[in-house]
Amino acid sequence: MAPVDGVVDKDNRDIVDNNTAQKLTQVEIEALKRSGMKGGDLIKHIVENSESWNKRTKFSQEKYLKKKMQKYAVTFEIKKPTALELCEAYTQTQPQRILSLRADTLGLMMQMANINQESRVLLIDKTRGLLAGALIEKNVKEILHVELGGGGQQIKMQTDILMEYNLHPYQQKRLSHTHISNIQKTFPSPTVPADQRDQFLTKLAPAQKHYYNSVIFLHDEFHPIEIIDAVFDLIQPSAPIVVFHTHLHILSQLRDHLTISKMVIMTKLEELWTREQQVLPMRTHPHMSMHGASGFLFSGIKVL
Amino acid sequence: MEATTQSSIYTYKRDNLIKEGDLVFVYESADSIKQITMKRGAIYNNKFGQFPHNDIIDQAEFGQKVYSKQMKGWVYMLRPTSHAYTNSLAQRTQILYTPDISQVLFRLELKPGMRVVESGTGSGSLSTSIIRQILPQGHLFTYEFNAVRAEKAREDFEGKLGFKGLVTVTHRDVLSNGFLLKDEESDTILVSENSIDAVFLDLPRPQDAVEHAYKVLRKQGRLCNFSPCIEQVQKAVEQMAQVGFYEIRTFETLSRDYITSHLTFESINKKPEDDADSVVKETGAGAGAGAGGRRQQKQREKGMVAELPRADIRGHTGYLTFAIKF
Repeated sequence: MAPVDGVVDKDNRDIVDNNTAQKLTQVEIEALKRSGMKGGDLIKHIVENSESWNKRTKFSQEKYLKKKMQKYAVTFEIKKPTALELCEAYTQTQPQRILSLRADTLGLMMQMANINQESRVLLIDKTRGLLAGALIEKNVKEILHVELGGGGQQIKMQTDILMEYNLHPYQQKRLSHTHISNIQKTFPSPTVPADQRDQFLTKLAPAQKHYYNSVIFLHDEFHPIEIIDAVFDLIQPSAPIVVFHTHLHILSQLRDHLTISKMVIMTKLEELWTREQQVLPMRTHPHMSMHGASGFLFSGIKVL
Repeated sequence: MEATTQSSIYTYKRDNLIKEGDLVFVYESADSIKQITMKRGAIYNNKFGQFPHNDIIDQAEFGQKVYSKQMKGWVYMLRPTSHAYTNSLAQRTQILYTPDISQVLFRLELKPGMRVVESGTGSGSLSTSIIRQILPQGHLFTYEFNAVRAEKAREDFEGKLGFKGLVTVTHRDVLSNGFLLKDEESDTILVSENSIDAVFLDLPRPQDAVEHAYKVLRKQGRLCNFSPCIEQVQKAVEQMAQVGFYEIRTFETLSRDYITSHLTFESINKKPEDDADSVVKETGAGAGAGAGGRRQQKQREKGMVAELPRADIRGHTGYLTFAIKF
């Protein structure tokens, strides 16, 4: 490959980083800004007053300009909130609000849960609507969001992130809510011996039994084993079940429970390793920093 | 006998009974999933014996365990899912696997109704996943430069997968001829400029397809390129920047699998009469069909659950570059 001009013949051997290269003071720059000098011109002025500019390699000059532009010529783009954008934004700023669900794992979760237009989703999560919105974006048939906890009082689903999707009312209609206590009254846990279950109640709601063909859990307050036992009857046989957790061991316990009891087959326990690359001529390498916690994903298929 | 109404394999009927004409995934073990289309009179054979379709059609449910006629073993009858389809595919080319597929579908923000262009078609693994995301109003235009593969893909889409009307397979070298498409018989324009929502490229010289992709994409449409080699990525990205794409981001994604084990420990101060067996038995991937698992199962329930990373993992599949048309 031919040497790139201004790269091979220059380096930083004569550059001393002691803050004296720039001849304009911060006060002078602020004055120029106040006088109405625009970003591009201001940066040109700063470059002209930099002693180290000509000593820099072409790449170093580009990096310098990029840095100055971030400071003096900020441009921004107004973007539509989508599952991808919202997830990335929250991951960067407030990951705890979405239980550390990373965008790449969200994508994998939807694929493993086989989300498509025919999906009737059983969703038990605490992402404040991020997941519900992502599902509605994919035009699923319906979502039943089940709230856990609250003791005697039934808590309503927190929907502040769902609101950020700006969904149409007809889209929002696909989402319905209930509390786990309503389900437990009609479907006592399958691990309770048959003769101890209320026979009358068990016959009450055949419409909901074996109904949901996609199941997604993302919760940190209750153990997934207890959650799945409580709703197992609602899941259609051969439906994919996907559970996200920040801690691997919890999912190991879940997988063990489901495999030994033969409730679920094709179990998988995985995490995603994702790295972004900087792709520039002569400067291609992975980004220097990387996100190390994708969260863990359990998946499996319910069987009869 | 002709199969009755061929619905898409992803149509989830409320009724869970297996019908004639249904595409069923037969689960023999974690590593062995076979695709069969149910047909009266047919018999499925494997090492456990015979499984006559007549015993299954209108009698067995999806998710049900079915024993062979000889009672030598069993299989599970499962509904097709995207992930299982990818893993059970008869490969005609190197395919994309689930982790990469999931990123493509998610980052291209595919939705029902979208018009998507793809090249090359290959084994149709990704095509199937794309179609599932954009139906029923969307359409996939997929281009393949190998005539035999193009025809096989057409057969799969219109046959067992039931995607007729949702996808158009074109035998063409897009690097030279681009993506603009006209129906030869009716002279209708199928793909014109600025008419496509998303383009996916998996080609040997992607840089030559970038400008063609730009032409057919609408404003704010998205491009995704998959290349195993960094040199291809560099050339493609350079072209993208030149032609007018922005927010060009390149990722690599790998899935890290975990095996679930049971660990028991002997005591340092073990007395001879203690019946401690330190046994490490693995659950998870190896839970195969058939008899003989009972003693293993008893041992599995002993001890503590622990996770073991798999040693034989993939180190690289390819780089995924995403970009938006300005």
